[in-house]
Amino acid sequence: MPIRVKFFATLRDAARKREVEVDAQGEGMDILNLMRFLFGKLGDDFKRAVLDPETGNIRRYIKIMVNGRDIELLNGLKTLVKDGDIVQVFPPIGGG
Amino acid sequence: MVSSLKGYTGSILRINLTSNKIAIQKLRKSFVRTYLGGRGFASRILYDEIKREIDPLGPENLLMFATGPLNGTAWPQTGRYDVYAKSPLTGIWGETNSGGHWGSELKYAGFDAVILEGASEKPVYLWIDDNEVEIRDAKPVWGKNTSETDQLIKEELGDRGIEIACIGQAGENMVRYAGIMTRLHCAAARSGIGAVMGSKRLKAIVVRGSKDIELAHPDKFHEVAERAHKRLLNHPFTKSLIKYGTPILVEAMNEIGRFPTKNFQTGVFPRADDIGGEILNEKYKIGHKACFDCPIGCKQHVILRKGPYADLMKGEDSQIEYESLSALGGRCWNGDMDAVLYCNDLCDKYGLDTTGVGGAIGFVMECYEKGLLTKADTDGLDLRWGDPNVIIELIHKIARREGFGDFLAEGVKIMADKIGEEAKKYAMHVKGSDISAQDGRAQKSMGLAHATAARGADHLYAYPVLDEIGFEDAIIERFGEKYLPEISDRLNPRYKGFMVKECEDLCAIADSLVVCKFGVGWPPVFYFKDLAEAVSVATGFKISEKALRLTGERIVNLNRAFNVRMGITRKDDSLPERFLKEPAPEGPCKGQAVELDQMLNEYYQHRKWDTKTGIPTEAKLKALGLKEIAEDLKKIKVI
Repeated sequence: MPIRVKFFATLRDAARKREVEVDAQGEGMDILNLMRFLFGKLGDDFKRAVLDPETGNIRRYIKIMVNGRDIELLNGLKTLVKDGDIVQVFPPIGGG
Repeated sequence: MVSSLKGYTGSILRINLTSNKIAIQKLRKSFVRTYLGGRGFASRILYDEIKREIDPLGPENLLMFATGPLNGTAWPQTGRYDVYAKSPLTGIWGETNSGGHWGSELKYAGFDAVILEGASEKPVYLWIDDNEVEIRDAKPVWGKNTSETDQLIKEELGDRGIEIACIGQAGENMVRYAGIMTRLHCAAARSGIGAVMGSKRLKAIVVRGSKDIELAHPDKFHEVAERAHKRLLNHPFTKSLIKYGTPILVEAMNEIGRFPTKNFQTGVFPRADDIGGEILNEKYKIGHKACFDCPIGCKQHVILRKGPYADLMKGEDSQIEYESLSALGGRCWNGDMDAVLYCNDLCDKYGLDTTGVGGAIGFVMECYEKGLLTKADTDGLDLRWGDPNVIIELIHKIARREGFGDFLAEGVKIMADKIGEEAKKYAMHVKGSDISAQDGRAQKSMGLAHATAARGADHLYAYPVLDEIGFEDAIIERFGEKYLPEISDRLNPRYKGFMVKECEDLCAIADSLVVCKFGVGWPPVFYFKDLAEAVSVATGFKISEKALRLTGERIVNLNRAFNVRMGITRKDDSLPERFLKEPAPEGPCKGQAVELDQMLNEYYQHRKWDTKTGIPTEAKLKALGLKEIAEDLKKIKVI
């Protein structure tokens, strides 16, 4: 089973999809490479929504989780993902 | 008459409904500076005037509608109002808040607050037309729902621009979780304050105002307010709230395992996408509406276009929030969006708190599942999970207090006490109030906030939302870096006592000014410093950030003192057994329970309350200028 990457709220507009499936090709893919792959696959709107053009880094207020756990509490962008994992990408959202 | 107090009208309208005596009480400057407005005013007035032993549904209870110094001004989101009384649902501090336009209109009519005493013999409504105040016969609207009441009163007074805060049949019948509605769908829902209104046979308070609010430094204030509008609108966290409102939280909270499902048996609802913000936006939304002077407009304006529920709603539009989608959806295992929207509209029309309704129905459905209730108890209804027809039938019965509905109208705690010991395990309340749409096992700060909130289980008393998804930048802005990473980890109990204390103090200020939590809490735009500047420029008082923090703390301590006098101690700052001993069964939070004792200890330490009893210390109360309160608590030997 491939990795499922799910997008929420305004990021769904940018990605033009609710979710995509990505083949992890073994266990060698980290979040940084996954996001780079998604920028190519989903286009410039998604890239602009996620990437800060000034720093080239992922925007501070884009939150990425693996199986519901914040990657900041795992291994950041180096967090490895494998087939069957669910990756959630949130824009700034919350409040209730 | 121009008030000498800038930002305020300087007047409280006080009405005794037993004697029909109408009085105007002038605000003292020292009182205003100490308690600020809204919740601050109510905290002191209710402490002084409500006795421990009174029946919340008796004439001795006080009912107070309140605004603050920013209501009706150009500061964003200032149409709100608060209502306070001893709660018939909990028997302790009762508080409810609503958006809309009623709060600003009351200020324009010349009053900062309205206090109702006694009880009328016959149904009445209050008509405040600037300074003209009249108690009018409400017989023609008694028994009518909130929508009909709104319409009929507008026709009677011949003015469609009036603002009406009214109860429906649920309030008249004193359902313990009845609310108050304005503009048909804005609900001051919680604490059962609508039942207090019903007990006084007060159907509505109708307001028309045309006066100005004088500000201390109007030019400077408008500069500050304009900047605030821009900051709010341009904040990166605002975009999603404009497009989706709170309903998008259904999908997000389900994803992190925090979406109350089957009476909190789990935090993952397989049909969350069917009742979420995305589908609401695509299929039902016709626009979004804003409260007075709000640049966001988070209220999702929706319509059912076809199907049996659309026929029942007769083409009327409606509004819905995350809390109601959770309560009438996941909590009752109901994934039928059409039915959820219809149920929500029914609750608005009857004047019912959707959280109370979903809490009561989810609870009896679980009792039925466990064999604690049978068809012999339920008027023959088969209470299987998620049946929309049963949920609808129960809403009608609750509002009318018919048969089994009369039992549900008492609320979860009273029901559990009557069913027996086993049922208490499934009674998802704190201090008698149903738990709002957050599973504390999936966000520890929220678990603590539910336990400590003065009105019982409630997310808005502290509103500790920055760790929900965990946005570190916003957390650093407010709390610094020293508590990272634990403070932003929603599953880690560390520093959550500190966080909840800080958030409660901030919310006390928001509820006293009276401004929206969407701006103060989420998006996290305005903090103590911004609010201190706004209130200083509006009122001419020089209120520092430090002084404002102390005022927030003073108000929270007063709320606590009110509850302590009603018998509340640490033992009541608890959570249902399910959250403490039954680990989350699935999803991202599988295996998690709430480490409440650890967090409570930290919370009391930050509050400087006695960690054994949870009661404010004499030193703390005196440091906050509450010497008389300390003396009073000493008299009853609790400190």
